[in-house]
Amino acid sequence: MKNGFLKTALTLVLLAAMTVTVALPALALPINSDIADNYIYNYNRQPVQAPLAYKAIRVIGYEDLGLDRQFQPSDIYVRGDYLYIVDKGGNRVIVLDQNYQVVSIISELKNAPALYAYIPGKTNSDGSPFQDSEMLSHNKNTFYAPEGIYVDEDGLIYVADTQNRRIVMCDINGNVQNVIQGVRVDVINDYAFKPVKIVVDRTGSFLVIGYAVNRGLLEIDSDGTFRSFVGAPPVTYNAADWFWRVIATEEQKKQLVKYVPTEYSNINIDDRGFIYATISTISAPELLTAIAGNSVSGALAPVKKLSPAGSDVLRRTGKYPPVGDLMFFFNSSPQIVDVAVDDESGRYTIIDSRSGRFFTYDPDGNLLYMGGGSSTDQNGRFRTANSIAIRGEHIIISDVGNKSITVYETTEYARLINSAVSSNAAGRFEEAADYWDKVTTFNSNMYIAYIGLGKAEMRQAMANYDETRFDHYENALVYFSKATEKENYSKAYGELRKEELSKNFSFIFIGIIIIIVGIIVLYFVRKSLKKKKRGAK
Amino acid sequence: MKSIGEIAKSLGTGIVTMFKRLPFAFYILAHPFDGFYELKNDPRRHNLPGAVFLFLVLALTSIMKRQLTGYLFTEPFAQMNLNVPYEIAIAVLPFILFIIANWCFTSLMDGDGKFRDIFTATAYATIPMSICNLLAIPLSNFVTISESGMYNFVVAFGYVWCYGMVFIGMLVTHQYTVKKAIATAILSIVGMAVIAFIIVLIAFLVTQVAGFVIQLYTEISFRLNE
Repeated sequence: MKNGFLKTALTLVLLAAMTVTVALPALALPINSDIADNYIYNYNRQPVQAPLAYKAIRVIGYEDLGLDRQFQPSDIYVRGDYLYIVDKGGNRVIVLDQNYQVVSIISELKNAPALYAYIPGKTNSDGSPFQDSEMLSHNKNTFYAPEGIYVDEDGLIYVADTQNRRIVMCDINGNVQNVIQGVRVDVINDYAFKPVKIVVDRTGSFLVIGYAVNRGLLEIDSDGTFRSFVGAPPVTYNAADWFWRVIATEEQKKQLVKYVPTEYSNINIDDRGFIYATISTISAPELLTAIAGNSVSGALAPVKKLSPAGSDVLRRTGKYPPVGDLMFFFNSSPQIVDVAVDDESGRYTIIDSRSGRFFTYDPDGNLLYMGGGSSTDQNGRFRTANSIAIRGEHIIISDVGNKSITVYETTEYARLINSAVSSNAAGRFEEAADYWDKVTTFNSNMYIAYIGLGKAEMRQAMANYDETRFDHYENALVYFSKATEKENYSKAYGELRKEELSKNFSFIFIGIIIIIVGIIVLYFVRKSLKKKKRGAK
Repeated sequence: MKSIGEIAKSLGTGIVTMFKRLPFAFYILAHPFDGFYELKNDPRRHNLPGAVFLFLVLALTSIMKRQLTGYLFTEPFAQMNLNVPYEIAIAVLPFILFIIANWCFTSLMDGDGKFRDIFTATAYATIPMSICNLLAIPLSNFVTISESGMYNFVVAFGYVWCYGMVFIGMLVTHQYTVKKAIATAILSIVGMAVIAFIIVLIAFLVTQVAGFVIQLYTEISFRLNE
């Protein structure tokens, strides 16, 4: 009887345990329900776990678009409702609508002018213009390995038709409006104009990454004349290189790579006319040096924000620079290949093709959250991610290795952060503090949340001139110490000290007077005592 | 054979003498040359237990400084984990190394000081550092970053004063000229490095030998169990 009871009890316990185990995943919080190793770098540059910020909601392969295996997305662009994909392998432009259904596939061009088969400035030995025989075999009515795309507000598509050496402007049906070709760049000898990536600025001139051009972006007028280089990347050359140069023999020197400025890998433009450009060829030691020094200058930065004058104006005020991963092995340094900007809040996302991870930063250069990862056949992971575009709360990434387009959606956690950043940018600091407060319940390692909360407390303390301001200052101190923000902590503490001193000024003043009087009295008392002693002797 | 009561009594009188003789340290701070001379030559001023006590005070104030310094002057969250023996070693070991190295060199270079003289003088010379540590704690909790110069000055002043006192102490204890004192000071620092190197070397060798013995033991015990 007793045994039977034990058995029943045991069975019941086991059953209960099993039910709980089965039910647990359903009970778990909605965050981190995806298979993902999400992290964020904390104040000390250590990777710590973070809630899921991006969820892959859709993966579009070439079959889904009705295309063949030649599909090779090389650049994507979002304008209005449409997503534009330029297909380097299949020589076409694919236009998708908001639901990622094919609207149009441009593979045949109409009314295209003849191809420019000369190389500007190059002549044959008899003085006649040099004609490139390779170009004669190209078809003017198709693209040939196009690599870049830009779409203006009127829906006009600008394609950098790389191997055809031209920029094609056409509408969604392939009707060519204009073609820029045969651009003459005098500075470089015998340069055959091969545009790789393209954006158009507000004055209507083109900013182009030229194939094998390392002096910056080519700025080309709307009529096709080359104006100048913009935002030339600096030459990277360090002491170790110099040392090896000195001791190397002539043979070895030939084997050493020539020291040339790095090329830009992709460009993007925001609605205020700032150009975001990425460099993917920064070496691991250089990148690690820049990270260790928290370099504010753009000298070794994989992402830059170029003003129309060409200088780097990206703010890098975070606890570490916006470079993607901070920790990596020397043989797998990050390659930042593209950047996408959210016009409303100014936050931008960069993608690292080596690790497949993408990182979102606020306009000040603080890391907000990341997503993605590297894998061959897993949803939301990439083999060779190469381009990124943003549409509201969606991030769209093309993967040339998997021949696919992946659409990510931000989670509740990421949307809270976005709201906080947007409110902050708009000057609504109290509202931002509410959002930051919620963010800290998701992720207590989010140091910028504590900065936001601390700043809000500071503002409240300064706004309310009553007894509560002391509490606000105290709260600000707690938040700033959690964020390890010494500058702001010092500021808040200075204010608090000033307030406390002026509040208790009378007590302090009286105290000082009492001490001084006490010392004087003691001095005289001692003197008279000594006199008495002497007198007694 | 002394009884426990007698031992306790002598211990008690020892402690009382130690504390009675300690205030002389403040005389040394004010008059270092006379003070150190008297400390060495007047048997009534000898105070070896007091020297040990002063090193303990230095360790204590160093730990207090580490734990109680204001937020602005510490590494974030560094105060969360404290290793007391390590902190004591960090505070006191350099001085102990210096004493040993200095004794080694000065006994070869006609120094007048015995080991106990060097030890006592160095211990008395650490008082400025303890004082400045104690002063720096409330100051660090009161100043902001823009006034950090004040805090840094107090800390630096503690170091400079302490090292100056050590120098004068050695000068007087060994009856050296200034030139010779500087030379021995430099030699002592080199000696400290050598001693530290030898300690590390020995520790490394001992671990190697111990590891070898342990390995040998495991190997043999496995063979025997087969």
